[in-house]
Amino acid sequence: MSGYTQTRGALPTVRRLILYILLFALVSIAASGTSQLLGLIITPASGNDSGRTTGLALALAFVLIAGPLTFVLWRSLAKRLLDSEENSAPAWALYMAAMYVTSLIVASTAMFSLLGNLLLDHTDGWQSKLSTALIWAGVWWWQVRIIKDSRRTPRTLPQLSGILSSWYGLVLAAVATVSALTALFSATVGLLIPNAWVGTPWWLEVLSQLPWILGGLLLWWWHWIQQRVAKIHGGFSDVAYILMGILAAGAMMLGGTGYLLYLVIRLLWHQPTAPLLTPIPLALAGALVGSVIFTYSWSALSQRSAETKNAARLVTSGLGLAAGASGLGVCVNALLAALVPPLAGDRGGDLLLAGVVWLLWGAGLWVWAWQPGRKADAHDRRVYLVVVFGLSAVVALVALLIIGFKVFTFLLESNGLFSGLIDAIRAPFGLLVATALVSIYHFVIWRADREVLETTTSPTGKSHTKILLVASGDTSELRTVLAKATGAKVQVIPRSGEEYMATSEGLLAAIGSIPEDSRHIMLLVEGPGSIRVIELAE
Amino acid sequence: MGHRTAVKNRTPLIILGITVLLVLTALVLVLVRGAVATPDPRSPEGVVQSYLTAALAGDQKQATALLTPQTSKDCPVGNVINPESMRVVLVSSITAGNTATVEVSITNTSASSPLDLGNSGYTDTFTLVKQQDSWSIKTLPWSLLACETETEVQP
Repeated sequence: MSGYTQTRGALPTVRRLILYILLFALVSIAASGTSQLLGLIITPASGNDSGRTTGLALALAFVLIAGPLTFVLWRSLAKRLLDSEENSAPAWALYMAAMYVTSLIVASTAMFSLLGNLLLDHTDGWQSKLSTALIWAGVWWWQVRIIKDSRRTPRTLPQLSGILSSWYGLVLAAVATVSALTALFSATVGLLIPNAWVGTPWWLEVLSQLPWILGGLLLWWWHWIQQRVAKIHGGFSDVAYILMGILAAGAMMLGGTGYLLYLVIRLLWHQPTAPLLTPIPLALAGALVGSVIFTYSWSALSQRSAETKNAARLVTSGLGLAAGASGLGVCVNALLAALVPPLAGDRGGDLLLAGVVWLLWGAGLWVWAWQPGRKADAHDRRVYLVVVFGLSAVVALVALLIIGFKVFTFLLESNGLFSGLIDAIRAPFGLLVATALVSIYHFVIWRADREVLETTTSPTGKSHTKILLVASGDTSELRTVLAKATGAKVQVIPRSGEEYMATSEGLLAAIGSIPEDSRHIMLLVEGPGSIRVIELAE
Repeated sequence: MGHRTAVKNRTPLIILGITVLLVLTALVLVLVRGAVATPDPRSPEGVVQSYLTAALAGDQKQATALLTPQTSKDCPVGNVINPESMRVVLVSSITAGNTATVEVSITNTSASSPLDLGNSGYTDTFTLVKQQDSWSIKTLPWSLLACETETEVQP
């Protein structure tokens, strides 16, 4: 029962922490020393000898001191790790993830930049890059072998390395694709307006990004598909999925498409000149890559739990809300700008265009994800509402402070014009109006939710504080059902054996049969359809 | 409970109505009132406005004509002002005898993300001197420099 080992004080944790940090440092130093040594060996000696001797001395010091120490430390740790208490410690899992991801990042960036440089025909320093890539790839391969070794593989958080590496590969490929597409589209835009470019021609830029794109995709594919990271659901995997696949990709998609819309519509009013056209390729590339990742992540949500789907919907509506609210703020900003005629320059048309574009686009996304007026589960939205209130409060506070500062500056200086004051506060005032409207709407929702929560906390009419459920199989859905039905804290102790799975109807029926005043109960599944209710002492 | 649900159902519509109203007002104001200010062209603010209009339109000859001879000699050539998104608003104007100080606020509109819109602005001052009954600009913000005369390249 490895889940129940008690730690005997802080000593084992501190010992593990120190030893693993030491091991990480030693492995990194030995690896960088070896790679530098290898790089110097294969570099032909040129006239610059002083730099070479210093580098050689450093590399030799690293290798000859850190190398044997790593070996000794690893031998002693490896023996300890055969013990199940050691290899289920979180410190071991964290060390493995850190070492795995670090070696992967160093090796992959060295390899891809080497390939990119070779494609561009820049061959200086290829030896050091090649040796870095090879040595750190060796370290990574060593970590892979440890993970595959079933006696020593970390038992808590076993998938951490896989999850982090798959997202790293995807980010790498995405950024490189955006750069390549930007270069390609800039060349297309350059056909419309003749402007002399300096630097590398577009096909070379695209070519140099190719190793990064293919390499990133390869890393992502190897972890996501081959190592079946995609099949891991729950816990950190879902959090990472929402953060990267929904939030980050959604922000890129929203930002790219909104900016693109603004730039394109703006072209209808002005002459297409170079400053107006140059941002378009980047916006288009960002929009395309972001949409691809976002739509794929959204459609693949169907394989995940209902909680994750709900969280994804809330995150998307949050993105739309942020964009729409700022758009509204900018519209108010443009309103005030139109009231104050400037001495020269822009009269506020572009500003209003930007505001309207962001408002419509953000509000559209928000309506699609949030579906206002729909009956929703009050429990799931609480965190979201609290976050919205918190952020609105911070933004409104900052805006108020800026407005106050400008107003007092105006009042204390005797020469200011009132129109100058209006112009100075138009931006924070717009934000203030937008956050006020957002807060009012969500406050109404919050109040309605609270009424719903108060009247439906316990449909069974009883309130228990703690429920202990002993059952086998996948109990996460049962846990949520129990928690919602009784409002109690549910703790699950997994039971071995396959025939002790419970159903939610059986559980609710069992709860209905216990006396009113028990606050701490245990539901023990004794067989299919048979649940025993045990009252525990306080 | 019926009254409550009625109130709850109307608030989003009220907010929607306010939003639409604000946007429409902004549209109307921008399209109708979007003229530039018209100060007296012989006053310090008027001179600054003429300079800015000429500089933003790319007419560097006319712009340099409004600077004092010393200033136009010291001014580096080749500064290009991006007229697309710049907006200059008068903040204050103080005249004292033969010198005047005009403070303006300069903002650049950029819309690259919804979170950094129209907020990059700062205030700076023009100082003018009265020479032969007309105002000339003596010092001005470096970002609004638009000069035509070549500066001598010192070996």
